[in-house]
Amino acid sequence: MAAYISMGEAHRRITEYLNRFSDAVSYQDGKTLCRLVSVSSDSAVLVSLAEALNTFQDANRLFRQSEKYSQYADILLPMFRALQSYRLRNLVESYMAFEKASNAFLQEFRNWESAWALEALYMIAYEIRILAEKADIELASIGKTPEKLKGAGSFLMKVFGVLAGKGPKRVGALYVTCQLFKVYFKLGTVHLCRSIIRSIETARIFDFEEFPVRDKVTYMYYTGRLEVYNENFPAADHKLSYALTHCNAQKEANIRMILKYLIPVKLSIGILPRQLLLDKFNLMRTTTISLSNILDGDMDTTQYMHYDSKMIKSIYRGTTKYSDVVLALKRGDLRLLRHALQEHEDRFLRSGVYLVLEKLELQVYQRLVKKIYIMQKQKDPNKAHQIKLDVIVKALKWLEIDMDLDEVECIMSILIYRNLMKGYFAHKSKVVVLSKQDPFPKLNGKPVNS
Amino acid sequence: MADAGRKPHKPMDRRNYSSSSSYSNSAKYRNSNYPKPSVPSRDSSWITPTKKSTTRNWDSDDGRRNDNDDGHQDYPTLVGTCPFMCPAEERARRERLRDLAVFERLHGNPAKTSPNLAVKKVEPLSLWFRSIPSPIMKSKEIYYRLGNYKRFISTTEEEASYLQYCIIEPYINEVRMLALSCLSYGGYKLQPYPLLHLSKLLMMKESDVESLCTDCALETSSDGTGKGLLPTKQSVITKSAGGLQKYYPLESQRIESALFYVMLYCRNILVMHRATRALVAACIIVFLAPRKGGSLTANSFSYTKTDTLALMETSQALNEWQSLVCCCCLFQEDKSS
Repeated sequence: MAAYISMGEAHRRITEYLNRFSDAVSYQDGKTLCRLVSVSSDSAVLVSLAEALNTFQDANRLFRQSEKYSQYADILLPMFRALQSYRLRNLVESYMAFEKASNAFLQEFRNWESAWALEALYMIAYEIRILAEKADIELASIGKTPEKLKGAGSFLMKVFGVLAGKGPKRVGALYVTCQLFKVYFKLGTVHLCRSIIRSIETARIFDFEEFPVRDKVTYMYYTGRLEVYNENFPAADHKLSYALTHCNAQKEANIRMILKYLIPVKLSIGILPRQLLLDKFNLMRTTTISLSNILDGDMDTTQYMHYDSKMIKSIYRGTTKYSDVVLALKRGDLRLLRHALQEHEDRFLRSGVYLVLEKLELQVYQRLVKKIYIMQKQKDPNKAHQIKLDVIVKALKWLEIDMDLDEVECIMSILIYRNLMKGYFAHKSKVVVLSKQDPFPKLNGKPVNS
Repeated sequence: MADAGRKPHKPMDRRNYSSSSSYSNSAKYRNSNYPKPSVPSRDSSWITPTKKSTTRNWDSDDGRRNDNDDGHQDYPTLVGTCPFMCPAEERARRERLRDLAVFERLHGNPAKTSPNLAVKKVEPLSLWFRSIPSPIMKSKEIYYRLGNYKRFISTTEEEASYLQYCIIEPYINEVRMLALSCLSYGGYKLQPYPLLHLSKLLMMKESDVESLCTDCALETSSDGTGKGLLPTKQSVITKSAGGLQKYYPLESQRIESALFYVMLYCRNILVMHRATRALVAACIIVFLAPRKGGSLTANSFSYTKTDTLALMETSQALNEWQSLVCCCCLFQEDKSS
């Protein structure tokens, strides 16, 4: 429960806030302004302000009293309402008031020269999205249509429009773009990303290199994810790799998120995670190697877990669900791949990588046939390149997979067609004849074409 | 002889051929807003997977639908309620951007469509998969996008209900062409692939296999034992430029008997409701159309799509299952024309 405060104290707190606000604007103090508008944070300043507003009840009067404050009434009156509603858990009310405040703020922002208030604008953009998400949850829980996040998206587009100009404010456009990505991804309307991406990438006013690194990483992460959804794996690889390389090494959660998508992409172009991590982490070499081993499917994890590197542990936790997949690829173990897909099906589906991983089946078949080839080579190098379909059927049976000759022949024909195997099959003789040179071409960074 | 006022019997128990384990439709329709082409939109979850085909109640009036006494369902029955196949705002947006598919265009106008023609554009498959309930994902049909043509065709034959078969039919043809590509690409020149074996694999008549090879510009050879597919490193032509694509039916005892039962049911309706006779005739055309190579012959019943829909809307006797199949087949027709 809020502590009791007197009218006088309430009045003092509110006036103090108003002074801080107008001073921040007058002295172009972006940092302070930013802190004053973060409604959903639980900062001491705002909590105590909320208490004061509840006690004082008529903040309107204060604005009328002084010229100094009245110019900000359009912004701050709704802002106060938003804050009060938020603390009272009326999230829909809070959002609606905050939206009003944000629009008024944007109007003022247009008039301010230079980019001093960008940080505060970022906070407004962030807050409107967060409040909208919470408001939608509240709406859904009372059986109404959640539409506030969509509204927040519209506001963010307006902000983008304000920033998309020739002046110094334009470096803020990428941050707003990323907020929009988050909105669209949440709503599932990712096709709407297309138009902003076009603006960022083709408009002459924007120079990608001018944007802050943090925003570039986020941007590449989301556009990389879009490439994954559209199954453009080389492009996805390029963008997600950029994000990983430039991501702050301390931000373990972000690194985990990038790896979540980058690993399946790398797998589908034939690259196992070990190299990925060795390149990225200039940590103790042994630590990195151990993590790579885990990702490569090395099952003996006991020796690695005593490392107290929080980061490594956290990343390990986030990526172990791929280790079975990697192991299946290395072993040619179709049963393990299917099992791994099934076990983590929900998570893979939700993150949208299920289809990517499913396509790895062909690579697993390739590996299986290659192993048979290698074993035959050891027994009789002259005859190794001829593999009876029966042998493959037996190998699959050993993996508890039931396939008849027709289906095995079907798979072999697909492997040849997709250039994962070089050679031919003879239907009558029921045999696959491999080319003597390079019978199992590597993918070399290109996905299996479909 | 029943009098015209009586409602039709419920459809026969289709347990013997419709053993689909993945999905069958039990979407409910608002009686007042009787279907526009009402294959439900993907927005609402429209699929109620069940493990076996129990005697299902198809009459939308009958409230017993929601009784799950087979106990196999771990999740609530999902009901489709969308009135249109494309949300109004998406339709407006795509009209503006001229982003309309051929079959959506009103009088061929690339910038104009109608609520009856527009179909929601599918987002990236990965995103769509996010919203599909888990039992659907586990179904085998999802598995065969890798091109495992053998499994795709044999699973369809074994398990698809007639409705599913109607929907899948164009894809069966694509898969067959993929099979021919793979087999001709990787084959051995001294051992042409026997057409007889191919016909079993692809579930076609042998003569149809030969026709398909010709359609795809593939050569066959003849020797003592029969005809065979000659290998070639050239890729197969996948789509005939313009014009209707020929569909070869699936040679399947099970599917044929499905059609037989459908027609039997239609005949029963015919006897009872004179008003729906014309409509049933339209349905029969629609069922037969895939078997005739995808074209509605002008000499027989010439019902246009609008006529058929109009008839459906006025007929209370038609149950959902029939209307659904009609819509699917009609929709299919539209796509190929």
